[in-house]
Amino acid sequence: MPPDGSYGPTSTDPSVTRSSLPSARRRGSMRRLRAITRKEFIQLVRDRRTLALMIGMPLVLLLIFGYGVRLSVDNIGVELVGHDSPAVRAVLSEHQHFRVAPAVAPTLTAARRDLFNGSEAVAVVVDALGRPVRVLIDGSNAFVAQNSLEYLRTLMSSGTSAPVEILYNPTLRSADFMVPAEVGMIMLWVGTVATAIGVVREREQGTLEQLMMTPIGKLELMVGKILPYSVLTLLIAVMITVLGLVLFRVPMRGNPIELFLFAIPYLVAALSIGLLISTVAQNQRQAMQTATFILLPQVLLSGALFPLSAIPWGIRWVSQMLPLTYFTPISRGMFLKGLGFAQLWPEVSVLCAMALVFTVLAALLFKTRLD
Amino acid sequence: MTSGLSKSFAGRAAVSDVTFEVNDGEVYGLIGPNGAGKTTLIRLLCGLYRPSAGAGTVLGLDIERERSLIRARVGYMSQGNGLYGDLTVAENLRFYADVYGVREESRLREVMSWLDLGDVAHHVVVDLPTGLRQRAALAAALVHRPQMVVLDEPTSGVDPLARDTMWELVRSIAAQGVTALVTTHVMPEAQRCDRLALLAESRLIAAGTPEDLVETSGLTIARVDATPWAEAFARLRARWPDAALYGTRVHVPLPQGEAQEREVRGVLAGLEVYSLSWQPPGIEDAFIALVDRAASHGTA
Repeated sequence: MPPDGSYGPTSTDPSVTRSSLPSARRRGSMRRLRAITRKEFIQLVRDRRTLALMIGMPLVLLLIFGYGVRLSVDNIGVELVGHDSPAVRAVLSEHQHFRVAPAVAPTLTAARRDLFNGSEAVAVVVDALGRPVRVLIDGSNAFVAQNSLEYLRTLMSSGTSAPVEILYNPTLRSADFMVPAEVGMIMLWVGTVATAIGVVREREQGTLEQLMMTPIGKLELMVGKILPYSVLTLLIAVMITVLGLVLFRVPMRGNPIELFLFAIPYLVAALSIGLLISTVAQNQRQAMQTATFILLPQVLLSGALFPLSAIPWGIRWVSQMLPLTYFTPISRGMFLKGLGFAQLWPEVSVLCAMALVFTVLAALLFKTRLD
Repeated sequence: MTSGLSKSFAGRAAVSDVTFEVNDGEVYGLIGPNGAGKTTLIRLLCGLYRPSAGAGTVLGLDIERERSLIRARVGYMSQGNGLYGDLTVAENLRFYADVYGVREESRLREVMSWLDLGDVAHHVVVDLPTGLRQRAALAAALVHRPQMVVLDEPTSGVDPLARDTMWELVRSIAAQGVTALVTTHVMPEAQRCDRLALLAESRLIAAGTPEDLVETSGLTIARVDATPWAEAFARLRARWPDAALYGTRVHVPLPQGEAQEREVRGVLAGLEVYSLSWQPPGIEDAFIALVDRAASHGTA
């Protein structure tokens, strides 16, 4: 049983009376914001598995993109058809691109069979004089076929072509191309998923209903929830960047602090997408599915993996609505070319506008009632 | 406090035309079977749902226009408990104290010692038994000294001992002038409320003190000791389907009236009746009778 008078007077807080002062309200607002942020941090740190996943997944992706994924293809299987030619052999073997089979296919039919069963990817028909007269390429892997075609063109026309100089990434290293894009992809992934899950989990546990019954405002709730995830996402982005520089020796020709600043509107846009997802998803499973549904096309259509110019005009407008489409040129431009705000202001402006629009949209759609 | 309050979801009524009033400082129970509309009703009062029709006030504040003021003055304990499972009891209380703008550190200690939570203050909530978890949720609802507490099924899933503690706490809150609105579907608990409202199929079918409800049910219970008891039970049940067996004794809820004893004895003709006595019905009997009556009125 309670001691007498332990209950005390009821609701004397000035911020809750009808005639509350604006300054008192603002102080209360900061308190509430701090309370939510602190709670989110505790939860984030205590949920070891999710935290490990959020940090581990970007690391694995970095290693895959850095070591595993090669945009250039080497060791393509080639065979000569009809006649052997030391000269053609020499040209093909000049680089690592091709691995020339020691045996010569007797007929075109035999060569077609080799391409069909996949033992070789390219067949070069050589005439009696030892000149290449015809080339067959297995097109079932478009990536390999395109690379082969490109290599063959340069090799076969050697001596006649104009000298080519490749700027910014002279050796065309995949890591240089991929790591800057990965920074954007990871921020998008972590930011969107963490936010969506964070809000939906409250709904699932029933704590959102409880929060709606407290004086917490919509904006306080949203900002308070987003803040810890922003810090986490930015830390991961920094981690990826540093590892990219150290492990893969990706150059950083721009100002890293500028890149960090440009990443903020991008991050806010990504987090707001997460909030938008949380307004439609009823449980964590739905949130994950919706996030994947939104993130996968974003990665594919943004130009981070495939060039924007390869995306047909009919769906290019989708690309133009995705934050990653604007962050990728910023990131690549700063890592590889040393660009700055002078060149990148259009992309930065679009990201700022997107951050604003998505945040307002999320705030409008976020309900403070249950119905 | 409310008049003609209604709420429907996609055309299906969850609360229809409910009018009732709660006095300051009383423990008011909303009772009824699951799905009767109890939770919807309290969510309406707390401004978590927008009413489809009707109006209401809580602590004199309009539930539509002044819900932010209501929030600051009402302590709410949702059915889902409302605490963060991965936080400790103390962390949860601190969070709600900050959110409600409670500045004094002493208030947290006060609430924790009042609800006897000192020993588990640094336990993570998911590790606690349900009874303690509910008590911690009550503490979170009290931390800002609300003028009224709204408790949605505070004793669901709680063992009888902890349930008793919970009701003692509710009574002690009310003793300090705080109004308590409590929902439950456990009928014996309803007796611990000052007044009750009975909800069934979205409607309020009766309201008043527990004694009033028993009275308005117009029931009386016949207690029959007869041998062979199984035969007596079978016959009584065939005549009155609500008859129930308590050990070897049969309880038959009957409408109050003169001719009842003769009818009971008639049904038992040929059996040896040791005793036939009468007792007032329990709240559960009264509740069933009232719900049945409402249902038959509704269809008539």
